Amino acid sequence: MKRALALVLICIMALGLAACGTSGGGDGESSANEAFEARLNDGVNRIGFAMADITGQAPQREADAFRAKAEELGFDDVMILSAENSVETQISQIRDMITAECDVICIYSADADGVVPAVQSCNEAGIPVIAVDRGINGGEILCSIASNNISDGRDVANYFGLMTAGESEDSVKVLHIIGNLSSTAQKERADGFRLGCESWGQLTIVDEVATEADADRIYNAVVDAFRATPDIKAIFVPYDQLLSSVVSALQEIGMFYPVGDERHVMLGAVDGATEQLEWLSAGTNDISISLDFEGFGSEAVTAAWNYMQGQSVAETIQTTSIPVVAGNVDYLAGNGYLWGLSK
Amino acid sequence: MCDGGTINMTKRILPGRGINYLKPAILLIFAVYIAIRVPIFFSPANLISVISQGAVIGVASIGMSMVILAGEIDISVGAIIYCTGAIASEIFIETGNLPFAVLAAIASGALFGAINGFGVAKLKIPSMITTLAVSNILSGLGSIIIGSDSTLAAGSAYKVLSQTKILGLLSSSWIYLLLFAVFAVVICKTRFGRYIYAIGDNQDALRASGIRVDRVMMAIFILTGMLCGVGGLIATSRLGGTQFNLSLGTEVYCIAAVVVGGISMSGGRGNIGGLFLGVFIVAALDNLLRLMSVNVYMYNVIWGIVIFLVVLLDVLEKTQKTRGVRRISLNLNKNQEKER
Amino acid sequence: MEQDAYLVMRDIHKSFSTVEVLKGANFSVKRGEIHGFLGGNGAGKSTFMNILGGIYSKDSGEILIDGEAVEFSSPMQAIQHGISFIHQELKLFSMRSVADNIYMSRLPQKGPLRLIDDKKKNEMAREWLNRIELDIDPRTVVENLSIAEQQMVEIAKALSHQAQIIIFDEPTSSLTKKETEILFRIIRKLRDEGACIIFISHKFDEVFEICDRVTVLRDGRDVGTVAIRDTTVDELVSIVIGVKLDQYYPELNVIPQEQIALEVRGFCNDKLKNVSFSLRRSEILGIFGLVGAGRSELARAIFGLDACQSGTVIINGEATRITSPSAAMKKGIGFLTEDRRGEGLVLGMDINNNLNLPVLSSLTVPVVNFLRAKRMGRNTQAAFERFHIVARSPNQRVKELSGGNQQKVVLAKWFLTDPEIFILDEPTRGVDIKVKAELYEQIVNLATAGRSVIVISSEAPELLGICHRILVMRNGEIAGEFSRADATEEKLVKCAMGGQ
Repeated sequence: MKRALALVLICIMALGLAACGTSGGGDGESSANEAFEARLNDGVNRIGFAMADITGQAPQREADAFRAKAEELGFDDVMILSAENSVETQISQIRDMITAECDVICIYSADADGVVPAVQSCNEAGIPVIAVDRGINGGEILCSIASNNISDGRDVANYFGLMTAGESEDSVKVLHIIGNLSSTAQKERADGFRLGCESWGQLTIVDEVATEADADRIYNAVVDAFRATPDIKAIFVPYDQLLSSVVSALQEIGMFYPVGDERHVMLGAVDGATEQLEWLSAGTNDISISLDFEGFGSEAVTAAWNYMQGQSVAETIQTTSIPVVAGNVDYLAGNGYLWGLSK
Repeated sequence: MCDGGTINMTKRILPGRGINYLKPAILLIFAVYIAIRVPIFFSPANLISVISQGAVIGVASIGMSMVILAGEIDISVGAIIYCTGAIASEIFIETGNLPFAVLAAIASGALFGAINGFGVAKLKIPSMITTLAVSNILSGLGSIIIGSDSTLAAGSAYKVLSQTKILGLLSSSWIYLLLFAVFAVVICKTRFGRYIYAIGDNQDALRASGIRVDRVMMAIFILTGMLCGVGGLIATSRLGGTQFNLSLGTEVYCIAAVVVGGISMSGGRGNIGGLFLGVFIVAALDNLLRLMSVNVYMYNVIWGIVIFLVVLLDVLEKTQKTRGVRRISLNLNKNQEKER
Repeated sequence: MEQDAYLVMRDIHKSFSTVEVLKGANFSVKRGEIHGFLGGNGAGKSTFMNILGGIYSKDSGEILIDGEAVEFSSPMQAIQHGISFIHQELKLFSMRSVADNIYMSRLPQKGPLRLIDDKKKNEMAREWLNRIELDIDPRTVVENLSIAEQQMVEIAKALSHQAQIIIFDEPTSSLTKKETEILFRIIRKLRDEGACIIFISHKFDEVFEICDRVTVLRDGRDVGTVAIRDTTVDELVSIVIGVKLDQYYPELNVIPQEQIALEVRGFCNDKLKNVSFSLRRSEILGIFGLVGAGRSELARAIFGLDACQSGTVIINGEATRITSPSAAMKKGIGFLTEDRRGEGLVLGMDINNNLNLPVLSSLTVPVVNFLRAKRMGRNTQAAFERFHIVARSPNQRVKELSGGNQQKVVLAKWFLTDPEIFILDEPTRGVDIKVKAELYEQIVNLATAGRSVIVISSEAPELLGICHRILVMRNGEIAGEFSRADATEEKLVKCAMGGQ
């Protein structure tokens, strides 16, 4: 009884606090805009970029391009933080950026849903948010910059389809490795890949394994998938680096043959990472979709700049992806179209 | 195998104490179900790959079983594997010297184990806390070591370590089987092994027998660290390098394997032979969930339930035992008089 | 006295922080002698023997073995000097085999890999077991042995260490009569082989049965060594407590009322077979039986600690179901368990908190649940006075108290709750004579105040001294009922052992 009473008291207090909180943010809309104006005119143009992680080549390219573009356009300060793939870390980093009075915050989210509270904090503070690379599932987003993930996934499926054109119905068995379920980009790639497979009669996805992009799980998943279905002809993984595990696994079960061998298992992924592009010429894998990571970085800065100059900004900006296969890799690399093979 | 462990069984099988049959019965029913539902599971090729998939967990579980037999726990196992694996693959990428990488992994594993051992045996910090702290330190350290390098780039020369086929089994499986055989003898047939059981049984009595309990404890953690170092080598060499957060959380599977293997979480009781079965079951369950294409969220749910049930079983067994034991200890406490 | 002694301890001093426990105690034992060691609670017996066993180190004084001064700082060193301490709480590896227990400190090895030679170990262990006529397989796991057998294992271990001096700390406390006889036979055999036996006990009958001489410790000093032949129980008691005790048991003037406070009908579980009895108001009912006869199990079942398959409890004419201790407490039943360390006390907590634990809910301020510290203090103060608890302060941790004082705290704790029906399981166990007398008086006072009391004990004289009526249990059944007038110790024991 006493305890119940105490609970009720606590609830009332909590409600009271919440009420205070909401009333404080009630006229957020107008004050937020004022805040934005105020910051714009504080003499320092500061842009923040909260990245899920900065390890690996692709995000580094993204960060480098971001910094270069920002300096080129004349931002006074660039703040780039990596959250080591932890959404908690990312949220506190975004809060830090708000405190540091960034004029615009770009987010390459660690988790499309998890990061939403931080986006809302930005909204309350009147700081425009730009989603880069991966989408964000809530809050007010000024602009989303991404590649067309659906078409990236579909391109891989189409390549598999073309290469096996003429085979009988459902005869080409495909293993679909699913990566981070929290990444909208990877989810869309998976959707695109499925769409692509549907359009080719001979392609049939025999197994879809969720692996959370864990190398060890992917390895085991490939081994086990071949136990269940020994005649898998093609494997799709959501991004290039995960192919290493797949290759190791194929080697363990003796199913690894280079392109050209009739026992070859086709491997396709998205990203266009250096190692996997080099593999193309060696005949290890078949196709990689090179994404424009530098574009992500520079487009984000450009959008932010435009907004600060009072220009309108498109809700979504799509970068162009380039399908790379053994036949075109040298040409593309030679002309500097591939971030993975430039310099 | 061990004279204490096996004799237990003769007593435990008493009429009306169904728990003794519960584990084998569950296993049997499960096996039959699997044989019907996923026949591919019992194919030789799959069983072989289950053993190789269980190699990392297996090697680490040998260490975990010693720690648990001694009545302690080591939750830094996953982090040691991660960190030693990172050290080994980075060194290999830098120098290309495989023996050096192997040595570095095992030596750093020993060092990390020694830190655990020092905290538990000398500073008397509960092992749960010590190893949790070490776990956090090492998972951070591992990520620092990997840094921004391309992570799975050690190449095929590094894979030789675990991917060489010998008599139909991968070398990683052989490493595990060999280490298991060696440690089975160590645990069952040496003084050191007997002290491990004795620590988990009655530390004070062992101390009163003139044995340096802290040294034994230290040795247990160092060996566990070294075994995790081997685990790190296998894990990274299998993939041709390492990845962020690779193998973190492995300790949960190790604990599951140890408990499924019949080793009591409260220490002192259990047969090391059972551990082999425990590791196999844990690896097999993982394999089965994939063979059956279980959705990843469901996968986590199933694992959570399994671990819960396994620990529940351990608790049930313990209460069944102590019900008998308590009566005795009640009598023991009678008339006792402790003066100061 | 010391001339032909094998072990001599001279002028031993020992303090713990500021408390001086031993103030110059002397002790000597001859070869081939069983030497009793007596003393009240807090006399320093345990400390003294722990110094001999190498568990504590002395502050000053000397220990001579066979004329040579020795020093040791660990149990192992004491063992190496031929001293084995068989503790009341046995120090065994309960999950290991008998042979492992005997040889843990020096497991035999063989071969280049120095693997344990289990065969040799078992053979050697068997020899020691044979020497004490213990017919068990050395491979048996210790937890499967009875307490008596476990004790024998400790003795075998002591012998295997070539022990010349063996200390037994209350060895009979959990043994049956028959087991005690066997133990005594072994002890005598060891004596005849020339060992020095030190026998610590509270039980005078045993001391008279087995000891050759007795040394009494009081207040940290030895106050007398006598040959058993030349003394009497009364004389020994007066040495132990320092004064002559005229009346041991209080007068039982209160007459039970007609009203039945508690009735138990047809209790059955795996330890109890159809137990029924009733208890009237103001009545003190004794339950006598050997260890394992189901006495404690009956109490546990009534109090809701153990499950009952069938049976009813009627309290004040109202049938109730008791499934948990808290339910029992609500019905006005208080239970003093025999396992005070395990169930009666929170050892890590201080006396004040332990005492007030069962009555906490009445000591809290409503709504905010703050404790009323003053009232707690008052309770504690009263308990200290009533039970003569000896402690540094009410804030001393219970763990640090002597066994007798722990027992007083448990009793005081339950007296605070003031239940209608009191079940006391071995209330005077490990308590010295002086406190015992006080406890008996408290129990009688309870009855005078209209409470009903059940006293469970394996000491027949104490039940005869304070109970209106005595039930005897055997094998989970009530084997007999005796009124105060016609009960004798002989009848009770005979009935308990099934000799009617």
